[in-house]
Amino acid sequence: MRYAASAATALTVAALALTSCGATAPAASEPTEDNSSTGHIDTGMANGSPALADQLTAPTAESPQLAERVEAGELPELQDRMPAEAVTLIGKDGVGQYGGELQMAMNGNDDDSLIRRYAAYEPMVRWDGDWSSELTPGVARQWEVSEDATTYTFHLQEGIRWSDGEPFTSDDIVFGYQDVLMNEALTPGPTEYLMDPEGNWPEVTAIDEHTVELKFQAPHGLFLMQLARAEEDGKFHRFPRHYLEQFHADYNSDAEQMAEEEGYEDWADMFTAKGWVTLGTGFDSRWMNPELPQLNPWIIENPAYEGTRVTAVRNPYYWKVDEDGNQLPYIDRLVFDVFDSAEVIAFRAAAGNISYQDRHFDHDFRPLLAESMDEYDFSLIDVTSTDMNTLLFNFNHIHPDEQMREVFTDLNFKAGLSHALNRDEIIELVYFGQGEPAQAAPREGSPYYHEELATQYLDFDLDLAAEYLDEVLPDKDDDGRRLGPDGTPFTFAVDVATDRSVEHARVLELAQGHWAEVGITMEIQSMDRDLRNERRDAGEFDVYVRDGSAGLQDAILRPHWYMPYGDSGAYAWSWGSYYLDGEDAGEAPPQDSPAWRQWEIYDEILVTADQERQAELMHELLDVSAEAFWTIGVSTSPNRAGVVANDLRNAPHELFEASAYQNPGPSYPALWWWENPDEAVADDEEDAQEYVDEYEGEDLPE
Amino acid sequence: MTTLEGTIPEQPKDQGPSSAEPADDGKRSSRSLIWRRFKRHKLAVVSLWIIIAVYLIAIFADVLAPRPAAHYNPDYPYAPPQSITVTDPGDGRGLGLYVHGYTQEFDEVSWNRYYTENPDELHKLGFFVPSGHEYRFLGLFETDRKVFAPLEPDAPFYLFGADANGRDIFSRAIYGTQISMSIGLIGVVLSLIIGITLGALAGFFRGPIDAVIQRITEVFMSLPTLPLWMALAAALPRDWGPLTIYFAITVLLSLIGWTSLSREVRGRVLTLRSEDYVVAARLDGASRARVIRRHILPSLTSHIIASVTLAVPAMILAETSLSFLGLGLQPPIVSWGVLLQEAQNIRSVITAPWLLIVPSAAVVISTLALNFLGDGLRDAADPYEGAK
Repeated sequence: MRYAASAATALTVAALALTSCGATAPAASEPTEDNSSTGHIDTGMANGSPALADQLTAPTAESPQLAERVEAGELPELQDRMPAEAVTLIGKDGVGQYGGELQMAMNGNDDDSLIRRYAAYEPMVRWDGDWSSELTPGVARQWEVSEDATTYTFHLQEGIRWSDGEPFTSDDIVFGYQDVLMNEALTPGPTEYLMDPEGNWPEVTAIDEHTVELKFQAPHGLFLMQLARAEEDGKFHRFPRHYLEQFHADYNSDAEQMAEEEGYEDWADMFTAKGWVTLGTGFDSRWMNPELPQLNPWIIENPAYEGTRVTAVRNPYYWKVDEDGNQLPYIDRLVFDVFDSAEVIAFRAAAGNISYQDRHFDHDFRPLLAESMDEYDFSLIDVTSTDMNTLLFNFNHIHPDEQMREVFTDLNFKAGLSHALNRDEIIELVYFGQGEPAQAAPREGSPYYHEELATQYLDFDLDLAAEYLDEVLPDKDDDGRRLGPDGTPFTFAVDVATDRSVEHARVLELAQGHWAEVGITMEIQSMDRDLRNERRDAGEFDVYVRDGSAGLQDAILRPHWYMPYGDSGAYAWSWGSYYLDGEDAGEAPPQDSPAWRQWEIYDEILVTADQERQAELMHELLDVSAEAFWTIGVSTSPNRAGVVANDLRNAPHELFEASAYQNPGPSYPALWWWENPDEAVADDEEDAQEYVDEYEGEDLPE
Repeated sequence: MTTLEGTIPEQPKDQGPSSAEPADDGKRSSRSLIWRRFKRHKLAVVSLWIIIAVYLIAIFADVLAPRPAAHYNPDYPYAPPQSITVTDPGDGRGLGLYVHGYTQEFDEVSWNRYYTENPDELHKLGFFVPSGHEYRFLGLFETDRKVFAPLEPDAPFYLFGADANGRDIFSRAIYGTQISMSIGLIGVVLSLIIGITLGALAGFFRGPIDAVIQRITEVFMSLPTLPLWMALAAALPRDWGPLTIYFAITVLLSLIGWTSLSREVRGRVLTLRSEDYVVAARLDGASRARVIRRHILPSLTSHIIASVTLAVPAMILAETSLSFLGLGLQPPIVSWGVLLQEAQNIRSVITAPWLLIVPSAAVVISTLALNFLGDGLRDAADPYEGAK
């Protein structure tokens, strides 16, 4: 069996998805009714996201700014810059107009993921706007996977050029793979997504100018999804060989000398600063080096990691068009202001100074945004987070204290506590009545939804809770507090970070009351986030609370809340490290631990190519999760709010949020356009920052 | 410094005409002189009453607060303050004090509850009514009567509004008084005692004793506070409750924080010990202890009072900043700092300003009162000075 994905099949699947949820999609419609004047087009995406058209279109027109430069002789003609037939995007608001700026806000200088999400989601294969399992063509227009999931053949989109006009070919990929990713001086750590489950590098060969083949030694069933998630570093097709060779010691014997002249430590230091991720700081050269050729719709203009404003301008060689053949992107410039707190960003948004943003808005900011949206002409967007649970109680299954460990690993203990939680009250008070009681499980609507895991032990029933707890801690003292096996009152402490976890602290306060009803004493220990993580890493904690992530497509990629996997799932971090990184990294669980069975299943998922089979196996894995009941959940995470300017077209008003998804990247920001581009200009950098001073000076004293 | 002249013994003879009984001044005990002068400082007298009232509130918090501090009601998150009306609803409950109930509406876009007064829902209030919340009155006997509360125990009663969990801010502010006006002050007193003792010893004896004390002071001064706090956070036993930890921290901080006061006191004592009246007392054969107690310390009073009154508000405010390190007070303990901390988010500022206003007002009023009281005491403690 061979897998061939083309734009056409992608659209059919998406259209199916639309019919299946067609009844609910319009119900959550956004308040901008004036959109209708442009006439909505069905893009095939349930949430109105732009999508790939099923045919290519010849480029016909370009931005007036570029036309001027062509006139002036600075740029070649449009036809010489683009493929004869270019990748075509369609959006719900149709063909747009050029101009305007898109303004966003970064939360601190290290929030470069925001730039990546808007300007640089150009992976080999893409998630679509609905985040379905069906991957759509990106830089690769078509691909084949061998039945045993060891050989992947990618056919690159023809006619793509780097942002300096040089053609993009399979040679660039081979160079990036062999000379950068496999070069330990440039890439010290392992490149996990490129390695098969046994940790071997594949063999990468350029079959012709536009065809690349990757041969893994062991089956690598999740490789395509790993390519689509594109978050960390832009993946292996980001290296323009013609530009980077000059900095590479293997290609340029003067590279070392050049590095010295330019003030770099050595050639590797220079290379990573020019075209890769810097070794010391982890800064991405794509946001620092305006000369670096890229495949993205916008190229950095004002570099990141310094100052208070980052900008990116249109790539004159971008290789996609709208349905009339207008070269994309429509919008001239992306502007990212750097602020140092989410509150400031909320105030910026409330004053209408953010064009489109789906991150950094806590639930608490919602009234602020909702109350000012009419005055400042923006709307709220509905962001479905991949977070599947508002708070998970991770009891330390590897507690150093024998007695604590015995209690914490007892299913009756966790079941009892779970039944004693009044989740409806928590939802009402802390989460604005939004969300449903739920355990740690993939969200309803995700392909991996597992009803038993999601809904077991949920009923608020004190008698049942007491029954369960009597199995573990039957004795009580005069005040009704349960006694531990050693006869002293049984208490445990919950570590909660003081910053940014206001909601968690409030949930814990309520839970403390609920559990006191059944004789369980919980102490709340608020502490600095770093201290808390330190205690977690040392295993010296009773209970660690966190919100549950990876509840949608990414559940299969990051299953740490469903089985011990890496050190993120704090309930058994040491076992998880043992599984991922071997004996040196962690401790092996006891022979009868359900973890062993889960790992066996997951190993099989990793070598399975068939997506349906993967989902089946995942379901089996979650069966065991339900049996093990690793963590106690509270409720499903409510959707978050984002903002969109009412004049912005083609941008989705509902979308998914996850780092693996890189929203809003899969919704093609290149196709967004402004109704009044002349008015869509970012405010002055100094004004933007002055706003912060004002806000910090007056409204909230330190 | 004018105070130096002010302590010259001849001064009482010149007591000004403003004094009511000038002729007796020389014979009156200095205590009654202080009291008389204090009474002339109107602001200080008012402040004294305020401080007394604040401490009475702290002592009788259980009786005054209509609800226990932790009592929450999921039906009334962020309920706004109610106003009390005098009316007769005409249903047999008679004329009396009433509050209106609320009608509420949940906004699906902003996820905010909007409250309005429900004109048809009236809850009668009464004095010394049973509230359904048992407590031990001053540790003596069990009761559930509250000074001022609704007759129906479950009626919404939010004089100063409600917080996110539907807890009564009025009650919480009252309970907050207990912690805010006590724990921090112990630390202040401790550092005061250490600072004055060591400073006075160093200044009075000079020589090697002074040298040793000065070196010790320098060592303590060189300790960096922030890393010290972090170390303390890790070192304190984890089975202590947050209140104990906070108490321990304030004590430890005061064990480090006495240095500057000790330096100041030493300087003052060095100057004072060569004053004529001190020399005279020594030559008259007064013992060292008597010289220090009777002649030197009283001259220091104004200075000490000034530093204490400044330290107290600082301590109340420090309570919140410590919380960022996980060392300060944390919920479920209720103090003004904790209430302020809970109000420090956009939602509270925008939709429930009373969360910020009530505890701020409590802090401002008490610190101002303490400052004025301190001013009054300082001026009064130098009864001979203002007369010049």
